[in-house]
Amino acid sequence: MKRTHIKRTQMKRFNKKGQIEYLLQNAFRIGFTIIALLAFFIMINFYINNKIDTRYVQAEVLANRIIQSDALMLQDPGTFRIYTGIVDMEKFNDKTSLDTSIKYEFNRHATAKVKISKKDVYGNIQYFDDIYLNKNNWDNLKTLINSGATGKGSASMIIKDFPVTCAYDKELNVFDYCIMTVEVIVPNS
Amino acid sequence: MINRKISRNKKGEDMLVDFWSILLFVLILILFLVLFIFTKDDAKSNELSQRFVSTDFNYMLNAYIKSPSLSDSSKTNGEVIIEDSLNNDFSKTKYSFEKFFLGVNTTDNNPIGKFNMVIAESKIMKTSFNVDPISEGYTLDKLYTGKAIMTTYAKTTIPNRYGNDIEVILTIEYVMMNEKPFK
Repeated sequence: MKRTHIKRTQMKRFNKKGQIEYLLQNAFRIGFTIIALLAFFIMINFYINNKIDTRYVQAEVLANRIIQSDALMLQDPGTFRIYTGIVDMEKFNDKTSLDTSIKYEFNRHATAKVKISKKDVYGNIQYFDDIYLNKNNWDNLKTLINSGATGKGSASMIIKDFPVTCAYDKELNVFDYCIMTVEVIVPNS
Repeated sequence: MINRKISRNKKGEDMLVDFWSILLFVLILILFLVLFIFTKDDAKSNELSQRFVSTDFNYMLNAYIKSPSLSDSSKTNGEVIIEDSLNNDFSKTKYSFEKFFLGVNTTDNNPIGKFNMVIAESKIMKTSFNVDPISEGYTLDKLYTGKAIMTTYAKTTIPNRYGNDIEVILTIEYVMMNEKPFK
């Protein structure tokens, strides 16, 4: 009985009617498999980041490096302790402080500008000075941002204000409260 | 013609059952697909666009506490807070606070609207001050209509000479100009 059934099925597959019937029976299965596979790959693709946008993190890390490190902040010469939030104006006035303490080996990297200002009670802002990290890149990238250029050839910028103490000597005898504005530009890549 | 024949015999019935189950399966897959589309952006942005404003505000509070006081340069603002708390007179702290935060306008390209500092002892508020970097008569919601106003706070504790903890809470209001910091 079983043998005859197999034979019949096999025979059916070889004639025209059998072939169509066989195709109809399996068409849904084939279609379903294709849809399921496609859906699976699309779903997986949603959770794979082929392009990771690190510009914002890079800008934040650089800004934090400037405000936390001894590049501009006051450092006790005896204990080497860094007083974050207290700007050493001697370092600030030496225009190479940022470039000598934060070094990158390749040219196309983030750039920064740090400004010191003070707002009086009448609301007038008085700018003292500024210092750059990688000034050549700053000039190039800032021009691109000002021109409104977007895309891979251009750059993005963050601006942050921090209230700090400006120390004019290491012993903190002469100081003033001021605002440190950190502007970081990272190239769009 | 063939279809009709198939649906009438046993094999055809099986195939019809198969068809409905496949259809249901496809519908469930489409439902999942839609759900995935709605959640995919969150998964990406949560990982890479974590805002750093909280870190910045903690830095600001830390800088204030450690900076020398304007009223007595031999002491830090933290020490003056403790002293004022013991005397129950916060005039020196208020003076330094208002001078220190004056003119701080921006964080991550977002404008700051208000600084508020609360000093509390044993969870009981002792005093509170405000600094408003925006010109008088204007508020954040008037200047930036339709933009989300965010509130973030930074908190620290300073022990006094009697072992009681003085809590200093700095609350900052700012306007979120763009959901994504970089376009």
